Amino acid sequence: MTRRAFVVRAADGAELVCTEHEPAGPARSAIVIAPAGPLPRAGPFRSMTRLADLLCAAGHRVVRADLRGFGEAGADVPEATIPEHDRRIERGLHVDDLRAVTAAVRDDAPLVLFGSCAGAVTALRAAEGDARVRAVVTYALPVVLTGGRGATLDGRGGAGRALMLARLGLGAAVVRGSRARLLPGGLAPWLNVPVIRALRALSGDLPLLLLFGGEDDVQAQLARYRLDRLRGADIEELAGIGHRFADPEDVERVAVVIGAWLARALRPQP
Amino acid sequence: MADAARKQHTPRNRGCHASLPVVAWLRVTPLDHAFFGPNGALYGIASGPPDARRAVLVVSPPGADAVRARRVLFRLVRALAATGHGALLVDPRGSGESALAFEESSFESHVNDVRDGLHELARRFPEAHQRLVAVRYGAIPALAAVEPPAADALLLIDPCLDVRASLRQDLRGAIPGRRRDAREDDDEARTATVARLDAGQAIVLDGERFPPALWRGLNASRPAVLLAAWGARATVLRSGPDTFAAFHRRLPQARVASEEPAFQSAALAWART
Repeated sequence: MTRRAFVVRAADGAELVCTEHEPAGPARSAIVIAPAGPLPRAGPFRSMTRLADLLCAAGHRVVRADLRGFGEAGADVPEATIPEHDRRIERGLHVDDLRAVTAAVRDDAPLVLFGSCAGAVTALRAAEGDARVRAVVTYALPVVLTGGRGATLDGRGGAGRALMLARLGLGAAVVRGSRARLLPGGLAPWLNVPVIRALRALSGDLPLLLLFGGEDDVQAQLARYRLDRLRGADIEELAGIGHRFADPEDVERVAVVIGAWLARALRPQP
Repeated sequence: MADAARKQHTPRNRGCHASLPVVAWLRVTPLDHAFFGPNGALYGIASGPPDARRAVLVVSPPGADAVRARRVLFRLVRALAATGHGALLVDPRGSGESALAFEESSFESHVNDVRDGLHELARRFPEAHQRLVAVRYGAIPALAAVEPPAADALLLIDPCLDVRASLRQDLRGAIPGRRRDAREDDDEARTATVARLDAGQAIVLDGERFPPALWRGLNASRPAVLLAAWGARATVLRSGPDTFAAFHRRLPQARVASEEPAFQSAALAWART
């Protein structure tokens, strides 16, 4: 196993810095990892580096990328709180950057995208419309923007707040009643409509694994909007793990689950 | 040899940078992200004119601190290069992008990695006088790796020179299951955790297994004596939440992640003098 660093140019010329973990033999797949929110490509507590090493040891080529504004990437982003950064990423800040990285990956092995938390949104949306992507794996995929209703209600008071609450309540009822087939953006501004569309578009079209921590609550959002029964999407909960899989043993479990699932999902069909 | 080294590092010879952009009188030097050192195990980001008269090695802090500080230290390398200095950010093995898991690193590996970083700095900037920046738990390995006059000056940022006290501080709130109001329980739990490390067992701190081999070396060193050898050439910067929020945890509403202008200007002022 070897590592190398390389730089990819985004469409606007910004430098995106990547580390590639190259297996000793021919790669079983080429996995591109989106950064988990406003973090460098090593991930929270270096968990993505560890995950990449484990997947590479199992025969996968893995590329981790720093995307704009974070880590070693070019193009600074405006100063903001961590939840604000998260929301920007969940709204698609990194989607085109990740596509630029996947376009630079030259390998005949099946291309797989992986992302955790806000990075899961990036991975899922980057896969939409990219015919080279053969599978997507997400961990703790949020379909509601970080801060949710709280962010929408920030700074509102009195009658304005009551009116907004009524609109949000109507929006939630429409989304739930239609099993998220109707996505009224104006009535449900906390909902990440593009990622729900991507989820619907990709499920059944290519293998999709949605992983969640058993101690997390983000998967409740999927159930609430009936997105937990999508055809062709495998959903798995890992007991005892939270929103992040930071502890070394947790990373090992996630790597084993992903490796086993990819072996099944990418097996040539008879 | 100097000419050969300079030729090797001209931007033309780097794969992804075809030309050297010029902004007014200031040369904007490209960044080189590369693996180097024994078996290519060390990762670094280098920038600056090859004929720089002064070059700074920025040693990334070990463990999860390297992730928190990444953007800030990366921007420091960029800023140092923009002001005409050579700069190299190195991740010790077990941290950042370098090889090994944190628990596989040791005090000796950290010391050797600082020395290898200085060799790489000399290779890239052969005419430069060398300076060194080390952060938190990286301070003692840096002190052990080099003494003056091998390097001109040393900047220690939030150095953990009393490692036992620093670890106890970092363990505050990191031990699961503690009650917020049970200060005595927390104190006992931290004492027990440090005792496990003393007994040679790895403990998990910030999602990383803190290596007993690093702990032993940090405890066995004499940082006060090492620091005294530097005299006035050493500068200690206590950053605080207002100047380097990256190291100050549990501040979800702090405005962080991309810029630390106060820290950067302090470090640049140090590099200039």
